[in-house]
Amino acid sequence: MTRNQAVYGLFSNDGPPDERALRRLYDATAPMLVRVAYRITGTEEAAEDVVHDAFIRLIEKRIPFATLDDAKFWLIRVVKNAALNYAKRKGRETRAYERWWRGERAETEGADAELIRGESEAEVKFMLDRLPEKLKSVLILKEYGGMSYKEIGRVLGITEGNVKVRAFRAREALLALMEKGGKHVS
Amino acid sequence: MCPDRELLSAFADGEVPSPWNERLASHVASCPSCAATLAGFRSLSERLKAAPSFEEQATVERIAARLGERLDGNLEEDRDGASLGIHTAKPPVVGGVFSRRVLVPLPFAAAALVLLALSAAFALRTYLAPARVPVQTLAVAEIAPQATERTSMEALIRYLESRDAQVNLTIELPREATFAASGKPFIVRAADYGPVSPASRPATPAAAGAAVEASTDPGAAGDAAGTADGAAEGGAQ
Repeated sequence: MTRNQAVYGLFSNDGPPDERALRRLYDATAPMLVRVAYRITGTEEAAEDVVHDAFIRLIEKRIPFATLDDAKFWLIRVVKNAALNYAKRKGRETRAYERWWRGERAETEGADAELIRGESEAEVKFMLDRLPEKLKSVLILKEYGGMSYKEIGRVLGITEGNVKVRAFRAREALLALMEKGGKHVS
Repeated sequence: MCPDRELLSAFADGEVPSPWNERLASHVASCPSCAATLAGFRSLSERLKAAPSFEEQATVERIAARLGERLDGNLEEDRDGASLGIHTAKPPVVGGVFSRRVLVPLPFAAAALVLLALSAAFALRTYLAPARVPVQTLAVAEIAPQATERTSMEALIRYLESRDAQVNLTIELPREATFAASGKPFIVRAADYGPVSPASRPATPAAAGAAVEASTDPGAAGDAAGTADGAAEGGAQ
């Protein structure tokens, strides 16, 4: 059975969705969706909720996808938006704390601060959070979703050229943040 | 001449088509500045990918379990042991996929009343279709794995009235009871079957209410009609 045929008939009657087709879609997309959601929201619980809710919405809306790719891109879009909304809500609460905390560490740790900055895993998450949404979406879909520029463009509704520019600007912004933190990436 | 950084970013992503891809690779191999830029992008990618690890597979399985529960109330295990139960109720239930099986052992008297009420309610099928209906087993649903406690008729009626969802009802008669014929089967037309006044027969209002509630499931009605016919046949012998 081809990929396209896999989802055809997901909602072919008035009853519940076709179980096998739904399972195939889930297996093909859930790991990547969870990865992307986690990178945007920052927590496993939020990632789980966001991906779960996207599938529920797909099932309840009974959207007649012609191919598995159509369903996949719809899910990615929904997950990305929901995750960004979550991060935005959460970010307002935590950004102030994080700014203070980084300042605290710099003062108390002195010379070690330059080494510590940019070293820990949390720093990457922190820096990703600082990116504007348009840039963050593209970079996360690229790095964690493993998607091509063309696929990302399809999900976000922008051109490949636009994706290329945003990916580049996202990288430059992250490198600048890291350099500002005192660490050169070589 | 060196390519701009944006082009190197796309090259790092493997998004540059031939023949430019090969030409860039050739240039980078001989240009330390571009090689450093490219290395910077790649190092950043590696750091992003290495950033906080989490239990991805466990999260995927938890979501599957939640989807199964939410959609159906039952979990089905596939061969791999992960679960994503999208279970179609049989027969398909209009308006919902949640179904609950209630195992209700009844005292003998109440059981006889319920049987009589069901015969009255579903004998319309006999009236319209005189052809013999295959005798079916008494239970209208599979025996639920979870047992319930004994309950009175009043509690049963209250439960049925509280539920909008479809209810598959299994009535288990006391095994030690024996049934004897008692009068002729009573046939009632649907138009005659309305709110029961004290003067009308045969059933009590409560039992009639239970029969009406149980008859809202079209699937169960078919089964119960066959059941009632079977019981009526058995009772008339």
